[in-house]
Amino acid sequence: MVRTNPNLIREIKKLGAFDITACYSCGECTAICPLSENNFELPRMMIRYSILGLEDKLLSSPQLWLCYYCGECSESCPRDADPGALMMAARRYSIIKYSLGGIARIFYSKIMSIVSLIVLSIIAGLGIYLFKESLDLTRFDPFSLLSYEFIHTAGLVLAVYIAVIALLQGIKMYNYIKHSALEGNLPAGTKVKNLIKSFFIVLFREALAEQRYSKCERQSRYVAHLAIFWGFILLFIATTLDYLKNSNILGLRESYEILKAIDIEIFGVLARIIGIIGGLIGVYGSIYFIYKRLIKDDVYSEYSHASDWVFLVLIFLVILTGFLIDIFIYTNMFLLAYAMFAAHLIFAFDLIVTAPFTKFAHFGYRLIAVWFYEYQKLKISK
Amino acid sequence: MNKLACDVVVIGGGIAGIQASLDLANMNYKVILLDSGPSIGGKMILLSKTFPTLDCASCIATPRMAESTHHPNIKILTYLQIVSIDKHDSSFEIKILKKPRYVDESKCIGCGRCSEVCPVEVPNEYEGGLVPRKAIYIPFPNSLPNVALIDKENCIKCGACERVCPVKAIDRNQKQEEVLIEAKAVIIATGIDLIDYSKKIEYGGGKYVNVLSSYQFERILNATHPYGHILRPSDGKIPRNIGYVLCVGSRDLNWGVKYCSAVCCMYSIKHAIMALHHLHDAEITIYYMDIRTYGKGFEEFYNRAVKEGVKFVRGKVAKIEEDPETKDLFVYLENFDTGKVEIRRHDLVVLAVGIVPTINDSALFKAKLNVYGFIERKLIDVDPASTSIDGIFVAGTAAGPMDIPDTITSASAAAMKAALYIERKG
Amino acid sequence: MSGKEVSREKRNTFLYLREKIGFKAPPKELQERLKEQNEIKKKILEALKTGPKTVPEIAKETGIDTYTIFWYLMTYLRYKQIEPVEKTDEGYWKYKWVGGR
Ligand SMILES: Cc1cc2nc3c(=O)[nH]c(=O)nc-3n(C[C@H](O)[C@H](O)[C@H](O)COP(=O)(O)OP(=O)(O)OC[C@H]3O[C@@H](n4cnc5c(N)ncnc54)[C@H](O)[C@@H]3O)c2cc1C
Ligand code: SF4
Ligand code: SF4
Repeated sequence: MVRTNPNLIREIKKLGAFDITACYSCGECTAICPLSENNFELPRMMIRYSILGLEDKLLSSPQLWLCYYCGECSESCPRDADPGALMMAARRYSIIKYSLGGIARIFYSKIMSIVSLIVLSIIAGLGIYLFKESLDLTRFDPFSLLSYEFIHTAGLVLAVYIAVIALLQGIKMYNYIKHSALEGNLPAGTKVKNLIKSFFIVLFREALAEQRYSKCERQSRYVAHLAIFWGFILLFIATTLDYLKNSNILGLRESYEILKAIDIEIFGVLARIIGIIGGLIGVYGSIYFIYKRLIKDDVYSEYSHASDWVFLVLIFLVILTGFLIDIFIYTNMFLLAYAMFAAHLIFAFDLIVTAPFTKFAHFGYRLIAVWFYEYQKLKISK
Repeated sequence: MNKLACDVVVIGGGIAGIQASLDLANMNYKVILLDSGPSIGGKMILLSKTFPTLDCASCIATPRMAESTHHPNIKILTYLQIVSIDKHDSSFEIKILKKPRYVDESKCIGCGRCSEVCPVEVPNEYEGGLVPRKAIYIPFPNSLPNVALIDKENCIKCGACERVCPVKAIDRNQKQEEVLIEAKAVIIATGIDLIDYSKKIEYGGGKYVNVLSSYQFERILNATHPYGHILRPSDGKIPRNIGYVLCVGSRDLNWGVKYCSAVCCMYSIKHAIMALHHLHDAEITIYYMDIRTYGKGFEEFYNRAVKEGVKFVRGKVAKIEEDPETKDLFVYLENFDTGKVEIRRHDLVVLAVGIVPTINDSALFKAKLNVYGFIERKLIDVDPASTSIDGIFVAGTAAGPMDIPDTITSASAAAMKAALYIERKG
Repeated sequence: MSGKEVSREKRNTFLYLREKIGFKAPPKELQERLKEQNEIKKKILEALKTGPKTVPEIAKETGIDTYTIFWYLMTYLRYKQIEPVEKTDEGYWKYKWVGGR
């Protein structure tokens, strides 16, 4: 039996698919879509599901996440129904539905998301204020702002928090999309092999290179998207290196001979270089998207949901502050570096705590969907 | 300046204009029928057959054209430009500019010897550019007046035509001529054009030689056969596998028009049936969103096509690509039966191009136009022949897309309304 | 306008205009197009005179693309200078020259 949700289309329209009811189901969008493939057609089927209220069908469509909103469908739609916007709105809807207890709904309301971000920032700020140490202004030592133990524990707690929620939500999503698995059974050995193979395809082609994205027409957008991703990764590596250096390699350096042999300063130098590169490309990428969303000259950027702005601005602030820390250290302006560090921690805290419920979750859901898709493709290719 | 007077001026000599003129003339009104082109007949005379009966279009149109030419109450002027239409109290003053044909209309006997010797070959617009015509040409075999004209832009002034003309009709010294017509009422019957699909880059923007407009295919199927047979333009091959794309520009907010062009579904089915009759074992696929068989005998016509083997596939064609080697074509669509994206190969693709009004100068015709550029009817449901201006009436497709039977009905209605208007004014 | 001129005009309007007004030569572009057209048509004619041929066969012999050949062939067809005589298995007609000259 199929359950229908008569309010589905209304809710999805509210999430950004304003014109979709104009669709007369001609399929032009599906046929023009560069990512549409047999067994993984998009977007017309998703439009039908939404209009008919087939919520389960919609949420079980990995295709939602195979779309990158290049906008070609919207550009050729004879009804100006903006099918690309429907895909985007349906993803927003899925993020809400996949989230634990539907909590993500908060981040898809303008007021609620701003309020919750303010609350989170206050909590983070208060935390820093309460646990702060005495600043060492002769150099930049993060542990003179917050103690090593504090950062260590807070980091661990956040990491566990993210991992648990990501896992639970990932399972929830998988339970939905597994219904769209293709027919056919493979021997267990092949299954495992395919699972691993598709995992690596996803890791290298999708996660690290976003190859499917590059199939979308506009290369500049692909580059900017990749820039944000890699900016993020590089800044993360830089922070880790810094952290390793300042913690004397997790405090293990004293106890092991091999670690003693390493010149600890090299970590700092590497961190600076990687940090500056990461900061530059990350800032470039996020400014590109902010600019695009401001001038609205592309299909995908014509309409920006509040959640898009929150996400983009938060990312931008995290990258920018992270980048500025490096700059200020480099120019010996240590007080400013500490200020940036505090701001960076607050924004990063906001970003991480909300990540599983905001546009950030795209990343995870998309990887799961692409993994699923690659696996299914291996299944039929055999 | 020449001056003429009559009861009604009919602008546009398509089947609508001809019908309105004949009806008025038979009620003893004096009519002047104006057409901007070198021949009357409009679209219909150039069609192959008509749906849903598959009657020969020119066999129906030609007698009416001939009757209007010979009718004592009708004067036909062709190859001209309307300069102005002015209303004075109860009369209209229409100023026209008769363009020079460089051939004396009263002498030319339409033998066509001039075109045979003319050395210049240019695309024949009446055949949709599929074949050449000469710089001096008779528009099409049953054109009326059946008189040649010189296309000045392409004439190299060699004089060959003049030397062979048996009646010395050629007059390269002809000048344009202004004519002022006074009339009591005006009927606008300016008809339709096809949408310019070069805007649709996804369909090749007019660059793929084996992608034809429905009008071009209409000509290929015509009894006068520009190609002699049904062949495709790129290399003269007999097409074995034809794809027919519906709703090209119609119902398309993206680059075309919002409305349904009303005749494409039906003429496409007509073309498919006719092509099958000629090509026997060929495969003909019509890609559609909806088949709109709204009229009498239309649904039966569709069923007949299905029975005779025409394939109907639901799904709008999103993109056409050309194989640069063979000039074969690949169409992309989502097949609704399977929900899958399909790429299908065809020797020839025909586009059912939507229709738009020919009028592009709203100030000239005085009567109000609707948002699409068709003449706005005063009261569409109860007074469809009247326009915003008293004394100006509209006939046929100038008021919106319609097929030939509706065009003729509408033309007769306009004639009747014009007659009533004149009577009322006394 | 004198009587003599009128009769002259009646006899040959082209000549009259050329002498009287000085006909402008046709634009260069048109002249070149015509030259090209005549070259192509000559080649097609030569190919046809050696026996009935299909469009691709003529193309192979002349090195001109099939689209252009087919287009110009259709003038010959229009004035009945060629005739389709035989259908090949590939679905082409062989055209035979029947037009004299
Ligand atoms: C490819 C195709 C196939 C079709 N097949 C069928 C069919 O099978 N059966 C059917 O019922 N219908 C068919 N139709 C529709 C049919 O052609 C029209 O319904 C009909 O021809 C309309 O006649 P009309 O007189 O209103 O306009 P037209 O035939 O367009 O005539 C308009 C006339 O006005 C003249 N004109 C235009 N502008 C001016 C101006 N400014 N001044 C003076 N004169 C002007 C034009 O030169 C033309 O002669 C088809 C249409 C197309 C495009
Ligand atoms: S969204 Fe547009 S292109 Fe897609 S099926 Fe609907 S009308 Fe057609
Ligand atoms: S004079 Fe002009 S129209 Fe006449 S034959 Fe020469 S080119 Fe053709």
